[in-house]
Amino acid sequence: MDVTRRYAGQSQAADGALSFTPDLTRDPTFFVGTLGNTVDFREAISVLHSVVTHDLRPKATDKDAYFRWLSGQRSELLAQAQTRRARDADRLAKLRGQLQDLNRQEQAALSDCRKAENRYFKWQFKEDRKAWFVLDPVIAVHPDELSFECFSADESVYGRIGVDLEMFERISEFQTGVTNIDYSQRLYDAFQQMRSHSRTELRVNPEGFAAEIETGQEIFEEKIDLPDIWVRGFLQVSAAMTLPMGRVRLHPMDMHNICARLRARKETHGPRALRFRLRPGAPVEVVFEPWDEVLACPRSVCHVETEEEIRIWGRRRLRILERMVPIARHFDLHLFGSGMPCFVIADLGPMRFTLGLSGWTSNDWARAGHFDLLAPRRRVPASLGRRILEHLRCAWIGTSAEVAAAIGADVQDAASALTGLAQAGRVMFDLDKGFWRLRELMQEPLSIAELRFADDTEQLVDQLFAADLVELDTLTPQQISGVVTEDGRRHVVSVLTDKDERITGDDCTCWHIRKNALRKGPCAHMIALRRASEARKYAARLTQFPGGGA
Amino acid sequence: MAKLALDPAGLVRVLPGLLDAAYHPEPHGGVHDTLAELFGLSRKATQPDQSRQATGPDLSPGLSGETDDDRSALALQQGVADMGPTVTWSLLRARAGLARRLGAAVVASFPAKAFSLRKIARIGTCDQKLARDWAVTALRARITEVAAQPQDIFVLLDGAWDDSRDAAYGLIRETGSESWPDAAVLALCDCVTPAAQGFGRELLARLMTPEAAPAFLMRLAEHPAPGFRLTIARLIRDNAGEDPARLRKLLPAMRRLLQRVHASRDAKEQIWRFVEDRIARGTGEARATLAPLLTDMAASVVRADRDRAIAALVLLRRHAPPRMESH
Repeated sequence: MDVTRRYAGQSQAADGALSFTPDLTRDPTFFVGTLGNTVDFREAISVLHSVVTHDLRPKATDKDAYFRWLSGQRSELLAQAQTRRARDADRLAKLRGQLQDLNRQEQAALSDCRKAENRYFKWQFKEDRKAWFVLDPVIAVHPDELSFECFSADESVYGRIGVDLEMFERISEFQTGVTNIDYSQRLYDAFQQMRSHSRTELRVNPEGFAAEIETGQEIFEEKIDLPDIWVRGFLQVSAAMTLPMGRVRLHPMDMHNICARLRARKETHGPRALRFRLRPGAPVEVVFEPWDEVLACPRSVCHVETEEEIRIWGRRRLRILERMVPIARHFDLHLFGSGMPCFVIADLGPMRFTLGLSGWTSNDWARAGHFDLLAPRRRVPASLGRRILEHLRCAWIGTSAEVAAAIGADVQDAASALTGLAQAGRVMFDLDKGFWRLRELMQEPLSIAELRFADDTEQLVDQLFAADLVELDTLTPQQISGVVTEDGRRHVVSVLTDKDERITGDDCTCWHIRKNALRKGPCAHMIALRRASEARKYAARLTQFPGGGA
Repeated sequence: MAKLALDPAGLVRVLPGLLDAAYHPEPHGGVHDTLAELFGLSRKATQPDQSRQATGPDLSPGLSGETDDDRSALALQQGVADMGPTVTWSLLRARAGLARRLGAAVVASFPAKAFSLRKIARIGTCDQKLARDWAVTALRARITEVAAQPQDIFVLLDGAWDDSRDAAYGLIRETGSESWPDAAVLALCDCVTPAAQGFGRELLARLMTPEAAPAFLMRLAEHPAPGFRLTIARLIRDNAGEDPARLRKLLPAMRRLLQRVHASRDAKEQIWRFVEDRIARGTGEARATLAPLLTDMAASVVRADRDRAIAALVLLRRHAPPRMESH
């Protein structure tokens, strides 16, 4: 997906002002205010930076040094093989000595060059923002708060800071709206220089929106080729916020302890999940796999209705919150189900930091067929969505009940329509305050129909599932089996999963599996079967809507 | 275009459009190359005369002014320079590479006084070598001001370019740091590069007097850099003292240090010693201030921290005033 951003100059920090340059292609949005609690804001925005730059995807190792060493060794080995006679040994030793000298000289001569080359690559990594910022953070100025939102490059971590307007000592310019801001490493460096003894003004620059642009003023356009999979990831995490989730309130020291355990030991084999044992009204217990170490959190409280155990993967991502432990009053952990996105909200007084984690760190085929977060949960007329958007363009925020009352619709219908809008990136659900907020991810509405499926297989899965052509027989933690009918042909399907719930074994009578086994990933029937099992697991809960007041 | 540039009336007409194009990314390949040619930025530059650069006009030393192209390029550059230092500053801070190249060629025509020290230091962090060289020469020309307000050039110490950074350290060595005001030392500590921070710590060790230490502590306590944790912890141990109001202000810093996950062992040790000392010998108010921190740390899974926190809480209880029995 091609996205064009247009900025008047660059975001910068100078003379106590952090000036963010907004995207001029979006509706005018600006804000100027003096921050009250500078240090806490610095810590929160630094954590947001960790989210922006977060990337746990495996990186290729730099093997240049090894190949250089190998090429040196190769000539050595060759020389050894060619030297058969003892009389050549002396000469060989002498030559080896010379070669070593030459190698040393070469190393000495090239060391500065190599160091510089290394520094250049490091610099390039630091400076080449396109390589590690996929999309500039989204900033929203709402009647009650200013928020910054971002999604990591590896499509697994979502971050949002909501700053209540009370935190600003003085607000001089204010225009509600949503925009993207030009963001760079330099701004992060400037954040690190924020201190409570110096006044800090936060500016989402209003100047760029001046009716007439001065001659010579820099207007810079950049075109970003936004990967569809990244946008889907963002929408999935946003949509997950609308799920009815159980809440666990953790003391900051509980989060400290979780991070300490995660830092202390590294697993070498699966399962690698973090298990939360939840009992209504009782303290939560966290189990670290594969050692089954139990961490009791005596100061925590579970706000769940039934006893359950929820597993989350990609647990190392929680370490992003380490820096927030000393300033947080508590952490609210919102959990829906095993392998589903989960959210941690750090309460920082007049600020809240929301960390959203996708089901797993990587979205590979082994996890295919998990719950479809972008699937419509209840059919409502499209006109209802349009009316809600019109209302929110004036009100900006509201609960489902408020929105329904304002447009004269049924609360359940309004909640369903709002969920659909959240799936399309047009509104978002504020988990902490229980509001829906107008937040258009892009200036032009996203086509959810195009983004929903990564490929034709996923689309076929959805069709099979929607047409009720999937019959479940066996459903155990390790095996799912059943029958899937496609084009009048019945396929007997069986899926085996490991302790981390990854697809490890399979059986299907279709052509794809007979020809490729799992080399090209699971077939549509297997994914459909797994999807049916997930849907059965969560069916009861999905009748509820957040903030619906029903 | 070159002929128009040689005509003063034509220059006024074409220059805004050319500048605008320089600011924008090129719509088609080769537009910026043509513009660079027109502005005389592509010709091989000779080494500029460093002594003249900061004091008088010297546009693109590579241009001889012998051909029409050279003359038009000089006229265009002069036209940009005549628009004033603000336009040049904006060119140098632009995103578009061509704008920065043009700014670097034009900045040489300004005297060192045309920009504030802070702006010159920022020019010294530009990716254009010409601009960096000019900035260093300009700072050298205003060395007495640099000596009086060294903090104005600290942005150079955080710069990404070795040449201007080394030159800035050279300037600081020349002016001498012994007589720096406290504000300058603190500003140096607030830099973001480890080298500048290391220099800041070195100056702290040399210049900080016992009388000034509490003030330094209050300013440095919020420093987020890992390299400052031990310094802050030592300052807290030695200077946080007894005053409950000060302790309350320092509590977040102590919390930040103690709640680091498997890091800063030495800094934590200093804080623990301070806390234990205050509980053993401090006032009741100081103990009450520290109690919430200890209560939190007692819940840590890190045995070293938990044991010390519990031991401190036991000590705290011993010092607590006896409770009145209620009947």
